[in-house]
Amino acid sequence: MMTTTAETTVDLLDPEDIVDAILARHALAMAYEVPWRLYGVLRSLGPAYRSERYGMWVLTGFDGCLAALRNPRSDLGRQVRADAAKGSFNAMKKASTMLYLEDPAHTLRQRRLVAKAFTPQTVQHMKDFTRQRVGELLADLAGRSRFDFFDEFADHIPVAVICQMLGVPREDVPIFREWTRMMAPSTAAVIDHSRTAQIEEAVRGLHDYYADLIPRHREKGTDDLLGRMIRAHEEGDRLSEMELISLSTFLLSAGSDTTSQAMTAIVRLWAAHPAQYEEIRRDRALLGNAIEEAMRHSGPVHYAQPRYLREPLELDGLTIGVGETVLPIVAGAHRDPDHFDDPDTFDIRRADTRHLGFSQGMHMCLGAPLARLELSTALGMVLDEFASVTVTQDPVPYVDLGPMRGISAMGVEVTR
Amino acid sequence: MTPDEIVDRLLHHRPLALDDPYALYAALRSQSPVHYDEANDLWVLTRFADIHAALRDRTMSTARHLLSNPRYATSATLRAHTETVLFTDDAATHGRLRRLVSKAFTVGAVVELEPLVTRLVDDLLDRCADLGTFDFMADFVDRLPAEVICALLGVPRDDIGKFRDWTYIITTGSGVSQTDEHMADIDAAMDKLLHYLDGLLEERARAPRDDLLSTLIAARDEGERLSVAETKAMAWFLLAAGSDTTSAFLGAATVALLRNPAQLRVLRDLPERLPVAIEELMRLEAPVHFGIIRHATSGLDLPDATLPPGARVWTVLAAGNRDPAQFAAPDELRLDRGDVRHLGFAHGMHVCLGAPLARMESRVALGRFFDRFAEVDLTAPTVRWVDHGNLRTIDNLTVTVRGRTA
Repeated sequence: MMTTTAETTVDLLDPEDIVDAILARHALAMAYEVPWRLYGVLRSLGPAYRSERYGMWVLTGFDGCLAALRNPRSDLGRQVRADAAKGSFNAMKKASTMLYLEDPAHTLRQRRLVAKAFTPQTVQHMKDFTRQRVGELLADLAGRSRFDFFDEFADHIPVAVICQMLGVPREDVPIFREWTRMMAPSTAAVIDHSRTAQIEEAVRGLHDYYADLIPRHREKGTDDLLGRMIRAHEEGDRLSEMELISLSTFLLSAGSDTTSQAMTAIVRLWAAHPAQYEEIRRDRALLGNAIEEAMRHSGPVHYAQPRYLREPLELDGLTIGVGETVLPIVAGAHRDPDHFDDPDTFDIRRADTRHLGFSQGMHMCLGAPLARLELSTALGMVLDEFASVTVTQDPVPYVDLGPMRGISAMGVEVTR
Repeated sequence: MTPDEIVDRLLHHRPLALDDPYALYAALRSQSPVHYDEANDLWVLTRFADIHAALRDRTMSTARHLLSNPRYATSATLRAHTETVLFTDDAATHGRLRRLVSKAFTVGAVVELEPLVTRLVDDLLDRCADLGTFDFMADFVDRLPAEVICALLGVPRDDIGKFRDWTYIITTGSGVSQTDEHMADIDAAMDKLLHYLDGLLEERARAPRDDLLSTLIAARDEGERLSVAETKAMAWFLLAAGSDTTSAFLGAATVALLRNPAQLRVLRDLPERLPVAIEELMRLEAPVHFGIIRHATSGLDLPDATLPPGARVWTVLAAGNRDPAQFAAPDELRLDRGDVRHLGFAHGMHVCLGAPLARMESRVALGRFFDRFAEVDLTAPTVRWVDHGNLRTIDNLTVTVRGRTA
């Protein structure tokens, strides 16, 4: 029983082959619901499947993924630090950011300092900017009934927001968008070496750009996120120049692709359920839950970073010991029938839509409030503008962006 | 048969020894899927979705039913059950027991046991190869799980025979009803087993070793304590739950594979599919057919029914595993189903703790057996099924094998 796309053939009855396809053979680029069929097979083998080849415990159930994300002191940076030691520039940058630091105390320190700059007010300030940018994009599309929702709309918003927050001039946003695309595959659990060169190039580009930008911000004392990160301090402690550069790169890659892919995935799903689209249009009180439910059902982040355990992980009926590595496949958790009734059904009125798309625990996404604000603002305006949205490509072209399932183009036909 | 007649048959007339108990489940499911049997004051569930909901509900009590047994005051066995994790449903106690046992019973431990299991299997298969014609149960799979669980616990090899005899008698009591005479035999075996464990635990407390008993004792001495009774309960319960279940499954799974030669051929060619195949075999032939009777302390919400508080609920797990609403052609072995969610290890707070071990043993035993013997023939045309308490197993499964020409 094989499932095939142009690039990938997976034996759905061979769990090792499934894990290999997910990690190294672009299974996330497989069309339709195929990735979830892979997770379903792994989930049927118990709360954790141990991949012999990758030396990892793969988690596809909700309880297991939640426990893994909350597992204290687990180390996400082993591979990154090993790659950094081998001379990867990208890995060296990543290794100094909070997600990958070896010592949890250092992670907490960096998170606290970034959080001082990334306040609810900073996020709230971006609402007007988002409205303005979305308004411009919609104005550009006026009079057109067919366009590419990803390339001509969604993909422009988060990168503009992050650049605005960091204080990057508007004329440089296109090059940031390009760097973001080039960096996207760098968070894969198993790096695809054919993509190393483009990743390194983008990270160097960003590095040089920030190395130039930061001193200017420091001098001017700007009131943007970068300026605040520069000034953020705690008991005399500040972020170093290198940390500022690495974190800015990190915030860009964490905050742009993820959100534009989420926006595209949500609209794809809404378009496939026109009656529910109409309901949200009529009753905006449903918007928040319609976004969360779409994130649960088809959120772009499929797996979290592999975790090296420094505390045992207790799952239902079994314990994974210290020194083991676990891979939480959150997209699998989101379709766990032991946690969600009819998990494959998209239902904007679902009572429990709590998902793990922003992770949980000490690495929970700092930018979740910003992402939610961008999504609700932009999608609210999409609902205002379009009476209906139909996706004209079937299937849409999916791409494997490391742990994320991306859509590289999404032709739509709209009515106003 | 009317639904009440079917329930009576299931409760009191040894249905697991039938060639096809599944026909009874199907008849009950189609006539009355959420059936209230007045004579026994029992709600009987046969649909996958209902059973799943019942097992998932944390307010369902297994302890309540045990304590309401009229023999409770006089039976050593029933009292010993109250200390086990399966019959503890107070959330705090249950969580503590499960945590402690899973600390000792880690998947890491299962991984570490694999070489031992492989060695045991290969030794047994060496003997079987010499015999040519042998009893798959007595000569092969019956010997395996008890050895493994004793190795895990740290029971001396010389005592495994005694252990197996006692637990064999004790597990015959896992059925719904017993005669007084039968119960007396079970209690006698339980007394001996508990007495034996007293001695062994004392020894391990004095001189700990690298085994599960020593770990349980050590856990007892740390923050979250296990009482002496709980430690003993954990030990005998793991042993009882881990032996006959696995061998019964391996017998039934092998019969199912031998009766589907085309699918067996595919599996021989693609042995990497074995882990997924085992789940389908579990769905079709998981040996524990009935769940523990649970009391719905605060009622039970099912997909299209609500049971009142105090309802006594009996889940026919094997019926859920063959529910056509959940599985197309449910009575057929289809190793290519892929994602098979079955109830063979139950579900929810009491889901089988030994599932990782059972899966590993099954993978090794079936994998090595079919790898070793290119041809396997069932000698007898029919299989004689027997009921062993709550368990459907095979008494004698004579097979003739021809090895791979090496």
